[in-house]
Amino acid sequence: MSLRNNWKIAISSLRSNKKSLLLTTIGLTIALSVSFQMILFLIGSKGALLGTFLSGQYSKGLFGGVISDEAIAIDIGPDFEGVIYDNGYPTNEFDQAIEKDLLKIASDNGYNDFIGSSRVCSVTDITLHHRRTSTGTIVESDVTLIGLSEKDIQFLRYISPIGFSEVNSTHQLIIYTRLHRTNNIYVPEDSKFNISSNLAPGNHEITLAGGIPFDYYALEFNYRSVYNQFLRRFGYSLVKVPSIIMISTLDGVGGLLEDMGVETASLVQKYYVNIDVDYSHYGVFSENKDYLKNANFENTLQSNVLQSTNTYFTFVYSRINYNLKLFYDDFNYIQTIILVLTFPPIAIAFFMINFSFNIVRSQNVHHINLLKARGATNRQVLYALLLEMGVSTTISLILGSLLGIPLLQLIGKTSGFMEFKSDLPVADYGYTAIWALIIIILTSGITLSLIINLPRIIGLSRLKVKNVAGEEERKKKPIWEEFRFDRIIGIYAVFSVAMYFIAIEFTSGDIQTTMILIFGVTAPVAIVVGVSLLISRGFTPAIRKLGDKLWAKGGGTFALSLKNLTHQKKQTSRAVILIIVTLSFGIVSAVVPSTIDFNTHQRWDYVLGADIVVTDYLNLDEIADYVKSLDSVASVSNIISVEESEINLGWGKTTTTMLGINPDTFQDAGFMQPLRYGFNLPLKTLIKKLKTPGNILVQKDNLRDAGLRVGNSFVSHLGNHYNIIGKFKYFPNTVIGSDLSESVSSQKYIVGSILTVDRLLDDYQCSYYVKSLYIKQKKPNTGVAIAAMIQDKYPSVQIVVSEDGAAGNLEMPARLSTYAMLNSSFLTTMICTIAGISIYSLLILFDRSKELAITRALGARNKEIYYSFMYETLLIMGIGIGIGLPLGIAVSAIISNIINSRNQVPPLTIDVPWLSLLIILILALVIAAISAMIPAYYTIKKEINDLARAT
Amino acid sequence: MSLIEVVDLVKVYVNPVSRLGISALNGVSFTIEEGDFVGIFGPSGAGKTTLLSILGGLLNPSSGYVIINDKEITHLTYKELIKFRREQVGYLWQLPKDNLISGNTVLQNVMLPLQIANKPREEQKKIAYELLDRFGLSHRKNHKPNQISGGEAQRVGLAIAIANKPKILLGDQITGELDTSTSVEVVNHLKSLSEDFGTTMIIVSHKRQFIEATDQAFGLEDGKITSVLTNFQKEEGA
Repeated sequence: MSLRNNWKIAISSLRSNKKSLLLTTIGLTIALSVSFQMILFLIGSKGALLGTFLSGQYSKGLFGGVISDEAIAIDIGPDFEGVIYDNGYPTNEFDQAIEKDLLKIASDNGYNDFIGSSRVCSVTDITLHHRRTSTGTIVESDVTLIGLSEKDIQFLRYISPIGFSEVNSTHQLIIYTRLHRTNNIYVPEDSKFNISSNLAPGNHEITLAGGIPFDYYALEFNYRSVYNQFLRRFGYSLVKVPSIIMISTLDGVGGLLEDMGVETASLVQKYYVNIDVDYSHYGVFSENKDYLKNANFENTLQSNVLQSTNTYFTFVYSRINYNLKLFYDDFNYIQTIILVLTFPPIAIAFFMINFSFNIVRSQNVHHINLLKARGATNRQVLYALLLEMGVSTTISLILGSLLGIPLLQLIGKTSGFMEFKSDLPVADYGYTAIWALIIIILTSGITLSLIINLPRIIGLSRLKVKNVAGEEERKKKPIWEEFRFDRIIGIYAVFSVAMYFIAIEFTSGDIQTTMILIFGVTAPVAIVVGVSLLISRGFTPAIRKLGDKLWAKGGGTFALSLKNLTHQKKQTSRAVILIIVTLSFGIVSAVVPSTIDFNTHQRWDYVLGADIVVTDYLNLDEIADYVKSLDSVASVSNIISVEESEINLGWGKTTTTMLGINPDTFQDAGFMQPLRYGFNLPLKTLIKKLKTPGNILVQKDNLRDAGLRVGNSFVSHLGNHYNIIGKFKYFPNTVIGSDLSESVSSQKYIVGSILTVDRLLDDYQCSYYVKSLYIKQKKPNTGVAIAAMIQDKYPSVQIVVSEDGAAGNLEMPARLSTYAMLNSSFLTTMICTIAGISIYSLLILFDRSKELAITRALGARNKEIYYSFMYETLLIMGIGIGIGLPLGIAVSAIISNIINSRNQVPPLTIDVPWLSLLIILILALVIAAISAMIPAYYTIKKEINDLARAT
Repeated sequence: MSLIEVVDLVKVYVNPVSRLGISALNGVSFTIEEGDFVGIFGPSGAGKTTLLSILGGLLNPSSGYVIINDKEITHLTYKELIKFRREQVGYLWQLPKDNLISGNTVLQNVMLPLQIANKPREEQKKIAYELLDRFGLSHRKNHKPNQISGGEAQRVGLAIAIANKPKILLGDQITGELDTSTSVEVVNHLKSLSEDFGTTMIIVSHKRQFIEATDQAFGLEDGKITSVLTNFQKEEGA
C-alpha cells in the first residue's frame, strides 16, 4: 500500500515537472548519443580495429569501429621463413600439407586460438629485362614472383580493394613495379613473356608462349598503402629487392612459371608462413595477459614447427617474438589514442547531465516544498525524484541510441570509413553487435546518470522548507564552502600534475605507464574544468560592469542583453562553462590525434632513414665530401655493417653483427622510441658515451649468453680496450635498402661509433663488411637526381634509391581520412555545445516568461526581444570560444606531450587543423544563433497574458 | 488545558550579507483553545507569516516554545515532525495556485495528501470525492489548476488542507487574492468546517470579514501582540 502511494506521489511529481523533464531528457539524449559513438567505437575496436590499425590504415577503424569478419585474424609479418629447393612449381597441395601439420601441432598442444596459417611463395631467381624508355637502355632486373594463398589475397582485398579485387583466379596477375609507368618489361630472347603496353593501372592481357592469356592489373609504386601492407604482412625482404613484383595465386605463379618455361631444377622458393592467431576476442583493454598467452603459444608452436617441418624446409628462420613485440607496442599506442578520444565525449556527457539536472533542481524547489509541507517524508520526495530521473534516463537512452546510430552512420558515410554491421557477433561475448550496444548503453547510461544525479537528488530530498512560495532555506556560506567544488578540482589538478611528474622522475615500467596515463589525461581535464569555473565566476561581474556602462550611455538591446545575462548569472555561468569545457575537449579530440599522427609520420622519416644508400669500398670518405657539397642533400652518415662475424669478446667466441655508426645517426635512430627498443640509458647519455672510442653497446642476448653486465670491459688480442656501456633489446630498423633492417631480432648486435667498429674489424679480422653512406634528401622526390649525380661522378659505386624517399611515407589518403575522422569528432562535440546553448535558451524562456511579458506589456518591440535573445546567446558562445579555444589548444599540447613522452621523442610539433576549426566554429555560431531564435520566436508568438500566467 | 500554547516566541532573521539581525517576532505569547476560530491581523512585516510558519512546524523559532496538544513542537525529531504535519495541521497559502501542483488535476491534487499519509486507495477516493462535493467542485475534478478560477483554486486548497482531518488549519491571507463575495464564500466554508469537525482555525488576514468571523483575534505589530480582540471587543474595534 505504502509503495503504491509513493508511486502515486512520484507520478504526480513527474506530471508537474514536464518542462524540467523535457530539458533533462534533451540534455541526456545528446550526451548519450555522443558517448554512444565512443561506446560503439570501443566495441568495434575489438579485433577489427586492431587489424585495420596494424595494417597501416588505423584511421579507418579508429572512429567508427569497423566490425568485419574479414579482418578478425590479422597478425603481422611472417612468423617463419623457410627456403625450399623444390623440383616442382608452387601448388596449393603443398601448402595444404603444411597447414595440416601446423593445425595438428596446435591441436596437440591445446591451442584453440590458432586458426591457421597462410603462405606466401616467393620465387626470386627469375631475371627479366626492362627498358628505360627515356634513355633506350636495356637493364637486367630481378623479378619476384609472389604466389599468395586465397586467404592472403582476401586480406589484401580487405585492406586495399583497388587492384587486389582483380585477383581471383589462376589466370590473373598484379604487376607491382617500382619503375615508372612508361617502362616496358619484356623477355627479348624468346618472347615467351612480353608486356608491351604501358604499365598504367588497368586490365591488360599478356600473351604467353603457351598461348594462355593472362590478365594483369598494374599497380603503381606510388600506391603507397599497398607497399605498406606488404611491408607489414610479408616483411621487408619480400618487397625491397626487385624493381618488379608479380603477384598471383599460388597456382597462378606455378602456371606462369611453367608457361615461361623456367627450369624447375633451378627454382628457389621461399615460403613465408604467417601463423594466424585469432586475436579478435581480445579486447583492446585486456591485452596484457593475452599478449603473454600468445607469446607463450607462438613460442611453443615455433619449437614444435622447427622440429617437424624439416621435411619441407632446408632452413627455417623465425621472427615470432619480434612480431609480437611490434604488435604489443602498437597495441599500447591504440590504447592511448582510445583513451584520449574517449575521454572528451564522456566528460561532455557528464557535464551535460549535470547541467540538465541543475535546471531540474531550480524548477523543483517549489514542488518539493509543497510536498514537505503536506508531511511528505524525505524518502517519498526521494522516490519522486528518482522516478523522474529514471524516466528521463530511460527516454534519453532510447532516443540517444536512436540518434546516435544514424549520426554515426551519417558521419561514417560522409567521411567514408565507417561501417557498422549490427548483426555481426561481437567477439566472445556471445551477442550480436546491436545487443551488445543496447546492453552497454543501458548499463553505462543508468550508471552514469546515477553517479551524477544521486548525490544531488538525495540533497534535494533533504531540503528544509521555509514556506511554499519561498526558496529553500539558505545560509550565507563561508567563502571556502561556496567554492568547495572549485577547491576539489583545484586540489586534484595540483595533485595530478605532481603525480605526473613523480611518475616521470621516480617510477618505471608498468607503474610509470599507468600513472602517466591516469594523471596525464586527468590533470588537463581538471585544469580545464577548474579554469572554466574560475573564469565563469569572474565573468558575471565583468559583464555587469559593461552592461551598466552601456546602459548609462543610453541602453539599447545589447545593453539589455548584458543586463539580462548578469541577472541570470547562474545559468549564464553554467552555459559558459559548458561551452568552454565542450569546446576545449572538442579541440583536444581534434588536435591530439592530429598531432600524434603528424609526429608519428615525422618520426617514420627517421625510422625509415636513408633515401639513398651508396656503397663503396675505396673512396667512401671522398664520396661523402662530395655528397655533402650537394645542395639537395640534407644529411650524410657513414655506416659500417658487419654481418655474422665470429669474435672473441673475452668470454668466449660469439657470433655477432657489428654496426658502426655516427653518434649523430644514432640520435636519428633515437627518435625511434628508446623505450620500445629497450635502451637502458637515456638517449643523450648514450650518444655522448658512444662518441668515446672503445665504448660499445651490446644486445641483451649477447650479455645474457656471456653472463656479462653493463660496465664490463674486455681487451682484444691486439691489446685494444672495449667497454660495454649499455644494452638494448632490439635495434631500430633504421635503413631502407640495407640488409641491416632484416632479421633484426635474430641477430646479436654490437653497436659502436665508426671508429670503434673499425678497430674491432681490424682486431678480429672480420672478412665481410660493408661501408655505406646513408643520404637523406632535402626535398621529396629528389633522390633519383642526387643518385644520378653521384653515379656520374663515381660510376663504380652501388646505389640504392628509394624513389620518393622518406616523404613518401606520409600516406596522404590515410592522413586525409584521419583528419576527416578528427573533424567528425570535433563536430560531434560542437553539436553538444550547440545543444547546450539551446537548452539554455529554453531555460531562459521558462524562467523569464513573466519578465518577458512585462517587457512586452511595457511596449518592447518584437525585434528588441528577438535581438536580445540572440545577443545573449552569441555573447555566451563568443566568451566560450574565446576562452575554450586557447585553453583547448594548450591542453592538447600538454596531452600530446604526455602521450609522446611514452616514446621520449622530443620535440613535438602541435598540429592544429585551423581551417577545419574555423569552419566548424562559424557553423557553430550560425546554428547557435538559429537555436536562439526559436525560443525568441516562441515568446513573441505567445499572448502576453499566457506568458504572465505561466507557472 | 489549551490546544495551543505559545510562550515568549522570538524569531530573528540574520541578513546573510550584513549579518545584521532583523527581529520578526519579539516575545509573542498566547493560548488558543480547541475548536477556536482565531484571526491574526497586522500591517505588512509585522511577523504574521513567520508566526504561522512556526505554528505549522515549517520554521524553528530563535527562542521560546510552542506547545500543541501537550507536545512541544519546536524540538520535534524528524519523524515526529512528519507525523505532526500529516495529522495535526493543514496549511493554506495566500496565492491559490501555490497550494496546487500544476500538472495534476483537481482530484489528483486532493488525493495527494492522502497518498502522502499512506491512506488506502478506496479511502483516498472516498474522502476526495466527499470533499470536492462539499466544496462544490465535483464538476471540476478533471480540470488542471490553470483551468479553474482563483476562488475555486482556493477551495481546492482548502479541501487539500483538511483532507487528513487536521486538528489545526493554518491560513496565510487566504483571501488576499479574492474579491469580497468569494472571500465571504471561503470564510463560510471555514466556519462550517470549524463547526462540523471542531477544527481549530488560525487565519492571518487583513480583511474585515475574517476578523468579524473569528472567536478571537490577535493584533500583531513589530513582532509583538499589541491587541487581543474578543467577540465583544470586535464590535468596538471594528
